[in-house]
Amino acid sequence: MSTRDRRVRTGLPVLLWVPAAVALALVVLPVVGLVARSDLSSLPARISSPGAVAALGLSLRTAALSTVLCLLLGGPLAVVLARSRVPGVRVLRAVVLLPLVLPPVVGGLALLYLLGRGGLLGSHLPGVRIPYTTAAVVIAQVFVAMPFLVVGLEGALRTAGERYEAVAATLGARPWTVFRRVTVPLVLPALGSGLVLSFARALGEFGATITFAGSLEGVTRTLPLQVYLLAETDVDGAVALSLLLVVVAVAVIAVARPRALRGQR
Amino acid sequence: MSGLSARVRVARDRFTLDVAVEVAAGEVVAVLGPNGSGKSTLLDVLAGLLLPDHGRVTVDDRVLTDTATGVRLPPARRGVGLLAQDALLFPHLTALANVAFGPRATGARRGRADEVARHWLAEVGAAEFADRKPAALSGGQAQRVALARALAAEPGLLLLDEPFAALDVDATPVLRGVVRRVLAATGRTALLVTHDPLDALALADRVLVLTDGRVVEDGPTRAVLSRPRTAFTARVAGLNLVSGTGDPAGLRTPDGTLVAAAAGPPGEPAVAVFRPADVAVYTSPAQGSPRNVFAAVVAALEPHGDTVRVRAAATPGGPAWVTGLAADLTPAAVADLALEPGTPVHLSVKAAAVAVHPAGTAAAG
Repeated sequence: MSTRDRRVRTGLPVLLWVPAAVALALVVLPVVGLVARSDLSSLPARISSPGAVAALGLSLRTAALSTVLCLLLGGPLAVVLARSRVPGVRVLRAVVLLPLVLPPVVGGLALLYLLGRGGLLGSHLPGVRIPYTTAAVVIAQVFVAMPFLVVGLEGALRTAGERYEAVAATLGARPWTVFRRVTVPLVLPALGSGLVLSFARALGEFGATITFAGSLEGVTRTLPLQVYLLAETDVDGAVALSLLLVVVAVAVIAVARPRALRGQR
Repeated sequence: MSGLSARVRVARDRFTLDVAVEVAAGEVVAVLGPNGSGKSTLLDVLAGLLLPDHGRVTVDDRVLTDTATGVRLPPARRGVGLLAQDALLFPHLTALANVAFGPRATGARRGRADEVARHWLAEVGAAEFADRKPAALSGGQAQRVALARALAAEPGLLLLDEPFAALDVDATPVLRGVVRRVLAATGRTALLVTHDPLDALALADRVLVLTDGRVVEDGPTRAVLSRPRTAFTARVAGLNLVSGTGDPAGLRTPDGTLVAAAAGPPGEPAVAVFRPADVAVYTSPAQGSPRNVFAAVVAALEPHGDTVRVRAAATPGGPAWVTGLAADLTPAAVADLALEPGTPVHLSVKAAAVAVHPAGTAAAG
């Protein structure tokens, strides 16, 4: 019951350094390995091959569109989850996490049986084909990426609390004005990092996409799918495109992340 | 009568708030009460954040809440401003934009709103902070800006919820002065919730004491605090209070005695306030020093925590206002001085320990 051994440890325990170093190595070394394995001389040619260019373009377009949809749908969802006092809201909060814990392949199958030709919803949409289209790619990406935005944003909204909003109301601001001029600016940093995470997750999405949208060149074959395809036949090509994905991901974080952090203070 | 008129009944688990509060237009009323007495509940009802079980709230004859007819104006349409313990300035806006928020939200154009904001910032002495973000303001500065923001929205009723509680001791008197000046200058109807009797003395014309959800005392500030009728008021008012007229050297009592302190408002009704702990007791005339020395006799000795409170009474033929003054001594000091009821004593208090406040107009009567 003594508090002594708790109080002594104010510094960083040396023991933590070992697993921390291993963890860091686990993150960094594979990328180093990728760079080491690549054949830099043939890199430009491989990256500019028609298949690669098509996949990269498709990836950027679909990930961007998915991110916008995450914002337009997930943003309001986060606000409702954080502010609504409806009884079932705690259950909903858990449900939103589902795509995070579900294997993406399972998510893709689920989407297929919802929106496919004979699916729950798909059978009521005659003449509309969703699976194996670019739209399916976007839907799969939104499915897996949206929780990143919702969870981060909802946490920020709950941390910010409602006190500023109450003050704004006493100053005569109607709900929409309060939302626009107080709520949104307060969570802007969290919104920024949520969008970056969503974009990165959408860019890397593989399992749900290949199950729900297939791998049609120029239509549904995004960069991760192209990498997977080449890994079977052309390992150097796969490595080159993998590096491209790494570069794009790092670029996104480098461009967007500091802005998100800057707003914090 | 315009101003605030509220009858409120809210049943809670532990108590029922059941009060009628009237505040005349331009009047400042303080609500004192222990924790859990219902002060916050009352403010929430007035601000429109809580719907009472029964009640009717009007400000300047406009019905804000009426449970009988189902009227419940939302906070945005009540015209009830709030200055809370924390300034709660919007962190992403400059001080100027914070103050301009109210006018902008109610439809003023940007230029006009900024003009109004600059006026109110100047009014609270914060004009030079206009372009600063809240993170670059001290607690006292932020609270000034928050006051300007609340006033810029032109509220029909201003609620002050422990507005100085989060400030450090140095900032409190200054801000209290700012609030006093601005409330007087604008004739704003205001309700002040506070723990601190000094706030009430400095700002309020009238005091309500709330205990267990009921108003147990109601009257002019000084009358209520100097003649406490409940244990809470007595404890809150555990202060020595001498009334008189402000003087450049402190305060002049009606019999002409000078209570030395920082300058009071010359020629205006004022009260000198000091704590019993700052009063020393001597049985022989005290050493000459910049001290106030009042002759008295011991009226009673009361245990008070780990000190003994010595209650004084006027000497025969001496000024009557000495009666009721208190000094807190250690039991050892009481023993050394051999104090007992009837012992003639000299009460001594340093000028620096005495605060002189203008008395509210009603409090002077």
